[in-house]
Amino acid sequence: MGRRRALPPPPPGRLPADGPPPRFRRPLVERFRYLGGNPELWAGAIVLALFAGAAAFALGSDGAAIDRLPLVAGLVTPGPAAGPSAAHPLGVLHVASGGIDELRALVQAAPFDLGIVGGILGGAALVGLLLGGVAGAREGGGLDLAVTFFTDLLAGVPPFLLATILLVNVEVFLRPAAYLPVFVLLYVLVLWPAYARLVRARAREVAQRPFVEAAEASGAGAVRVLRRHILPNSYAPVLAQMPPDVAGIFFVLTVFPFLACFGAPSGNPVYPLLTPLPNGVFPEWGYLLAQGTCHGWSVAGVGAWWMYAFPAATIALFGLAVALACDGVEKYLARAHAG
Amino acid sequence: MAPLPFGGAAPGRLSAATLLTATASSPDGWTTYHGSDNRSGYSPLGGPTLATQTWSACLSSYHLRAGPVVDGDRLYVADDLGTVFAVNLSANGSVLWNRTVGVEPVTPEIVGDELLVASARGNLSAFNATTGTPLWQLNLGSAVVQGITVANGAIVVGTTSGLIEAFGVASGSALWRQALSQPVGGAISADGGRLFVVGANGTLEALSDSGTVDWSTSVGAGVATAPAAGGGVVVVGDLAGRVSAFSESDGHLEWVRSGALGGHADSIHATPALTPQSVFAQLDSGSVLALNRTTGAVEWETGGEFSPFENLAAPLATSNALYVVANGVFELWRMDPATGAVEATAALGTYAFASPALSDGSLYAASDGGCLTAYGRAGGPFRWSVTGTVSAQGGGPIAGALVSVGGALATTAANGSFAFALANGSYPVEVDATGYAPDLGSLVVDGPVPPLAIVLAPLWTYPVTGTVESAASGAPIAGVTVTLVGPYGFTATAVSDPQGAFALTAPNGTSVLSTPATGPYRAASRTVVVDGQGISDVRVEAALAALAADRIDPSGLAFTLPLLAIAVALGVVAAGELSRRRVAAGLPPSLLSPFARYVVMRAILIPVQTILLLAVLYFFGTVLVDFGLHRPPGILAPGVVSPTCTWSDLACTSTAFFWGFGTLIERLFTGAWGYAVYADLREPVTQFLAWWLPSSLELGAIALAISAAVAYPIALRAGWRPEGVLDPVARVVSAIGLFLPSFLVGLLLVLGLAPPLRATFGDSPFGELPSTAWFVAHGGYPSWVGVGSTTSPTGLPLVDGLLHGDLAFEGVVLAKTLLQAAAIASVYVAVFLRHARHLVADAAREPHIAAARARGVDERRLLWTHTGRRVLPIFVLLMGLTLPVFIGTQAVVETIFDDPGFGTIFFLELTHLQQTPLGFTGPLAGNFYQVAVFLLILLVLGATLASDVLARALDPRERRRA
Repeated sequence: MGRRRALPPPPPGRLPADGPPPRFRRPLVERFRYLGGNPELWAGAIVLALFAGAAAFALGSDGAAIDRLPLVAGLVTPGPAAGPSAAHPLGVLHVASGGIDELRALVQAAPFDLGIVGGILGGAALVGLLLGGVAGAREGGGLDLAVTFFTDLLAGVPPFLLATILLVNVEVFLRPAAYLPVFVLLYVLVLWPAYARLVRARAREVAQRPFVEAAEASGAGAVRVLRRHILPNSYAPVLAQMPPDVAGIFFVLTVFPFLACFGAPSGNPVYPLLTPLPNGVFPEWGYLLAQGTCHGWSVAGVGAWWMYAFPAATIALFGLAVALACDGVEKYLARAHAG
Repeated sequence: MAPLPFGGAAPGRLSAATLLTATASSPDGWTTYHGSDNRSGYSPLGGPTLATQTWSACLSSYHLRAGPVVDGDRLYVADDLGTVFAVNLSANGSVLWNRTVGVEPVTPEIVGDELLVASARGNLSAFNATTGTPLWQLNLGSAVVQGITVANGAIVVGTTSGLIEAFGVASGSALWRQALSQPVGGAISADGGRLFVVGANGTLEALSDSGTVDWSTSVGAGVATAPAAGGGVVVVGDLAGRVSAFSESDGHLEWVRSGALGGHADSIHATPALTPQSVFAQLDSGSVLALNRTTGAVEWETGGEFSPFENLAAPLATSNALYVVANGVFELWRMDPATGAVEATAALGTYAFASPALSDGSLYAASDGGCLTAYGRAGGPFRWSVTGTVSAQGGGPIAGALVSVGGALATTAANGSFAFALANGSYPVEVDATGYAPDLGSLVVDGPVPPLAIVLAPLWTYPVTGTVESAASGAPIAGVTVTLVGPYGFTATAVSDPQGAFALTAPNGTSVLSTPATGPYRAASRTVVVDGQGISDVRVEAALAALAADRIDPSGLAFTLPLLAIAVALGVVAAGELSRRRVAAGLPPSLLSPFARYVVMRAILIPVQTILLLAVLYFFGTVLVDFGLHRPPGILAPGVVSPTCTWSDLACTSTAFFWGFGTLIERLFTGAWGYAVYADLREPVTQFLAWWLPSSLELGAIALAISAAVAYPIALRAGWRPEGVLDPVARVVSAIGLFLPSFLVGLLLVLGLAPPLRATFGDSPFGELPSTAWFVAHGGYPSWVGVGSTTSPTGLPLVDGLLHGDLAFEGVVLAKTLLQAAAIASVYVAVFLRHARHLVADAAREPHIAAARARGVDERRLLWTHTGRRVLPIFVLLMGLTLPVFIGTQAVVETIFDDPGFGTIFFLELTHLQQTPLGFTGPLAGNFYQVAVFLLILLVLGATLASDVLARALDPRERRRA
């Protein structure tokens, strides 16, 4: 546990003789102490902030039309491949219905992709952390059994596959506008056990540590022990798991639209479009990458590299930022807890 | 009935037509007094049992004493007041129309569409029978007696004034007249071109068609009813109670009999019924006399005297029944014509003096109460017995020939005979016998049909010769049974000789030649059309590999499965060895440590987990989809749940759900996996697995090996020095690899390497095996490459290429496999690294490393031996956990490379999920998805467990503990 800090002296006259112990708060400045020497965190945070800025810009500038990509005039039907130019800094990307300005499309897609990834990872991590933490802290309890059962059950199928299957089957009930939110919900539904499993394993270990015993011995309630001692020490595996899950999300969003557009080289099998997107000009990075790869490959030939390179770079950059941020946060937490 | 030849041979058929004739004579209907103009009162059609009174209609408040007449479904009857009624027999005797014709009319006569009615006032009226429209009317001046006769196109009536007058049917124009010296006694009979007229005082005269007297004789007593003529005799019943038979040709007396019961002589007021065998006369007393028609011998005679009045209702006979009115008891009787026994009675309720009518098996009786009663025959119209034989031209009878008459079928017996029961009508006839040309024709039945003799000509056949060949190579296939199924049930078989040749014969028409699945070949078939000459050089091409429902070509699994078995056996041996060592070390031999028990429990739970997961998928995939698509819930439970089952019906909805789910589970666990479709292949799922699982496993193993070979050292080095250069570089590269979709990586690899690959191997980078073009350029498909891109004997292309020493093949396959493996590894290494470096970093900080370092152990040794062995089990665990990602990646890569494999078909069917939701409604596509999910679940659960066990086995600490 490292070196112990001395408690600050209590303010005079505010400590009742036999009242509850004072709430211990680390001064805010202390928290920033560990931000230095953590380039991953900074790099990840800055890139993610840029993405957030782009998303905010898109929301502000496109307003109500945010969910539809505007086709470039004169390219209503896929025309000659137009590479990067002054008018279209990232070139023109072909989708099934026409050409779109790639930069604008990628910016316009930012709020949706941030929403999808944030919603899925946030939801799954939150549920997984809470249930996994409680299950680990109360090993052998009813909740533990239930969580273990679910995690074991769903460990048998990759989340991306299960989410896809469920989406396909549920879509028949939905209006297209509801596809995406329901996809996020379904994904959370199949993903949380993966997090709960990791958190539970860590929390089980943490719950055995002396400081937890000490906290319990000093009269801390179960909620306080969980919130102050167990959960903060159980984040790490969640952070490690997040980047591959981001990849899994983009896998679904990219592979199936790509197959539908590209088919197989022999042309034999035909793949129907399988996507949670509500329409064919919806701004979403995975979809743009699929369309770009498909059309950049088959329509314009190898030369239309910008059609897939920029969306791929966007996704890779975003994923990298998430990965770095996760690593950075993990490092930060490890240091902060180590003191 | 006119002779009706069987129709000419149909086009393309060889047989000559067979002439078939059948004759019958029977009046259709009951169109005049006593049935027909010969007054025989005989209907060859059967009559009703009287058990069924079809309907009863009271038409008039006056007596109905003129007998009803019937034509088709219309009946005409007149009451004593002089109204004639047209009655619809199909509508329970409802009146179609009625007309006034004058008092006390006689029995009407139907001629074509004309109804003739005569009355006691001497009116002779003609109406349109259908509409009742009056056509013409005459007044004869005196009453017409008993009935009207139509003979040779003329209407002939006899009157009480002794005149016999003939009129034209169409307009009533007078044709001829003849005077009798006395009043006419009864209705005139017509038979054999003559008219027979009785005089009231006892004369019988035969007139020609033109009214000239042919002969005249005396009956010996007064006559008050018509003579019955037929079969060469004229039978007269007289008022002295005698029945006399005269020759039709010259009037000589053949025989005479008296119905003298106990010496009591009685009168006859009703015309006797005349059948081909007998004469039935009913006396005024009501008793009935049956006489032999030829000899006049008494066959039987009923006793009793029960009719209080003159008996005017004439008896009528069928081939098996005699109907008489028993006025003493107000009944209608059905009697056995052979014995006179009363078989059935029907109450009439009052007297009946009108002769009943018998038409098409139904009997109509009119009574003095003004009512008409119909008795129907049960079981539809009368059916004639139609028999015959089928024989070969110039040969004996044909057994087993199929005779079809108007849709009814019969198969001939050993003696070639067949039998039908047919109602009146016209029937198409077809006779088919194997090896004979069919015969077509038609048959009209309106009476007894003499036995049919059908002669079939043998089928003329032509030689059909050819060869059975491999579709791929054209190589002859020997020893295959070729079956020819031709028209008219013609079949022939032959076995192909060493050159694949066969020789058969076939008749004209389309024949199907087929061969069964033989050895490595599929079943094959083709059609040939023979048209008047033989066909040679017919090629029956059999494709490689097995066809067939659930038959699997085990070329791949045959090798792979034994390998697995060997691995299991080795594992068992190793376990035994472990046990032995444990004993040697003084430990209990049982392997069931707490951990082992945990492992066993998890293994047992795997199927349970699988079923639960499948239940979730089933619910989403079937129940919700059915509901969402507004399909009835039972669509997946045909035969179990009624098609009319609705969602609001909880019982059948839950039956559908549980039955469907139970079926799914049962079939998945028993390997009944249905069919899948890939490109132009439609095969059992098991077939696809047998073809493609080995090659997919091969690819997976190579990709996994590459991934491990790359990731393990990098992870070790990067984790060993987290602050070094390698760690951040590895992290960034792995993150990028993680987020670059595998298909993009795969495509970039294909793109970048396509030109050098083509230059080196002469083949595109797509697919797993070389393309067809490559094979063609390199001497065709080798014999060990089969349908579905399978190789034999192992199904592992790399291994098979080596086994057959085909280095060119091996090079192409190796290049493609490495390309795909690289694409998979690029993603998998990233996933793996991401997890692994944490583990290494943790392990590097463990006390035993620090202790070893303190002891002065070399850093390299610390890294590769101490830490490397420490993290190895965790890496194995990690591989188990990330296996789903690996499989998903491989599926995508296989798809992108258009490599027929497990992943390709899995993705294909996964994306077709909506079209083919979970279900087993038959051998449809779409089952592979369910099977793949099932296998994937089993695989991942099993792999997780196996990696747990393996990790423990690899952990040096665990080993030391043991």
